[in-house]
Amino acid sequence: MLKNKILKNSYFDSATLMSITGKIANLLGSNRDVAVMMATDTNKELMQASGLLTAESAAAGPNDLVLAVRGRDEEHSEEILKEAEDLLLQKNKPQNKSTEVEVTTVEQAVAAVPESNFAVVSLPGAYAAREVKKLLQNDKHVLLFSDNVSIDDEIKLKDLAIERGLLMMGPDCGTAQINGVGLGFANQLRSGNIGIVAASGTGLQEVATLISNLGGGISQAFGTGGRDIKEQVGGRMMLACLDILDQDPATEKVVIVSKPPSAAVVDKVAERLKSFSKPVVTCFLGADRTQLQQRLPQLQIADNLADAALLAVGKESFPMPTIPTMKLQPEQKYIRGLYCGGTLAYESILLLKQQFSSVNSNIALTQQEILADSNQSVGHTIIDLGDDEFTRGKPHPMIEPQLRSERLLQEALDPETAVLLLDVELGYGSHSEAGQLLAEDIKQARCELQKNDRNVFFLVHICASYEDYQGYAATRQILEDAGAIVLETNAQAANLACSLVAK
Amino acid sequence: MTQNKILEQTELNIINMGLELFKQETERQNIPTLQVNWRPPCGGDPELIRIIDAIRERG
Repeated sequence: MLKNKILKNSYFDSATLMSITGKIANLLGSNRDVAVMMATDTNKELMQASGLLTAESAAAGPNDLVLAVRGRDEEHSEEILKEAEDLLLQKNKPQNKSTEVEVTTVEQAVAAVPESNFAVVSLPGAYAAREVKKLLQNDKHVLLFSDNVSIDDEIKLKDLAIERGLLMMGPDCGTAQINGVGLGFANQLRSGNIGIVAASGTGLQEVATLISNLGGGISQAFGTGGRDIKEQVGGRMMLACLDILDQDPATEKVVIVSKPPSAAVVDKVAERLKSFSKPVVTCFLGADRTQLQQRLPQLQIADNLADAALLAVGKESFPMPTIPTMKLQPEQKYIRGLYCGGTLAYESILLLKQQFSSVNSNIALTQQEILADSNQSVGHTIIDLGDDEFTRGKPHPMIEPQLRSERLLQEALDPETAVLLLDVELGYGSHSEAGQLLAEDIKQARCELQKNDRNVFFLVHICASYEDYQGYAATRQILEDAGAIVLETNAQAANLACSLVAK
Repeated sequence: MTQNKILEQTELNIINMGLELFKQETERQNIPTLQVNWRPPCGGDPELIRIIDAIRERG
């Protein structure tokens, strides 16, 4: 039975709301029967579309909080609503904070800490641009994690930043490594002479961690936000970051990572690289390399993220684990990928498409391969679980890995599944027990499979540096103990999946 | 166009607006980080915000 409760004039930040949504979803046994959202027009539409909005909540305003729950019956729903409200009240209690200054605006923050030089902004998209403008006007570099910022705002903010000699990384920029500090979702990296510019979050993380793990090191790793390389934004921040790396005495080699830029942006980048003083490796995932190679014969072009790291460091290959022999049933024909990292999902689709004519996805390469229902796999399927449709009102799976658990079991028990492809990210921002939680899910799935004497290959790529605080080696061990095959790179995992199914 | 200043800023000092998770993670790296306990201005009313911003720009 659906019930809503409105808490008038009660603002909570998105992380609090997502944390409570996750806890209530656990109580209900599903994340489809709960929403805890500020009643903005967009959120009300989302709740309406999910069948979670009652008539009375339609009148709620953007400063009101709506708790929406669908329990077994009225009593159950009331009980769960009370639980949600109690959790929110606990969050509202004054924390036992230190003597830290309490500030609520950019102006107060700038006055309180005049020596500040950087801002990390993850506010709701509708409000983010005006705060970033004030930060830039106060000479702060910005990492803008928020999405749903208009393209016009992005252009204006980037122009303002460039004019003032500042970084404006984003919107939708999840990661950067600046002067040795990991920002957003980031990793503990070896310091060194390789600089990175990336229009892709997990693309940056994959290349940076692999370089570090190969014994190389990172000078700077800039994120530009995914839209920077589209025609309208014109590669503004990518070009600005290339200028920085060209001048940086600590940088001796540069890697550029993105999905294929617009033709105009490729032109601008190619033109810039003609006078670039350092060797460059490009990884434009999915792009045709021929023209670019003709224009820039000295350019090292990588076809995938792992190759970009190998070219940057000057090494040949990554080690491969031993693959156990495992009997599959004749109907087990398909690969199912469940990804937290969007670029890793995209790279896997590209690699699978080299072997199979059809790879379905919520981020598929062609219209025909877009899944009719993203919750239902068809044939070979790769899912980006960090995509908007899965994360509206819910935490990103890197923060809350248990959001993947239900789907993992569903895919493992599908009689047509032969291989499950999974990524797990470690480092700053990622869950402190991401590896353990995934290992538990794999163990549970294998237990269910064994009841019917069935096997599935669980291929896991750990996207992390050997130095990340959660422990790379310990994470690998716990996953192998659970029955997973652990791969150093996403490309290895995708290629291995193809070979296991092709047999 | 001004040369980008980021390479000069060898010691980062961060203002964090939004998810406290990011503040926790930069503090884990011993980087001074100030959390802004931000709330939507003007009760979240976009028209009021637009008016306030227009006044600020002119002032």
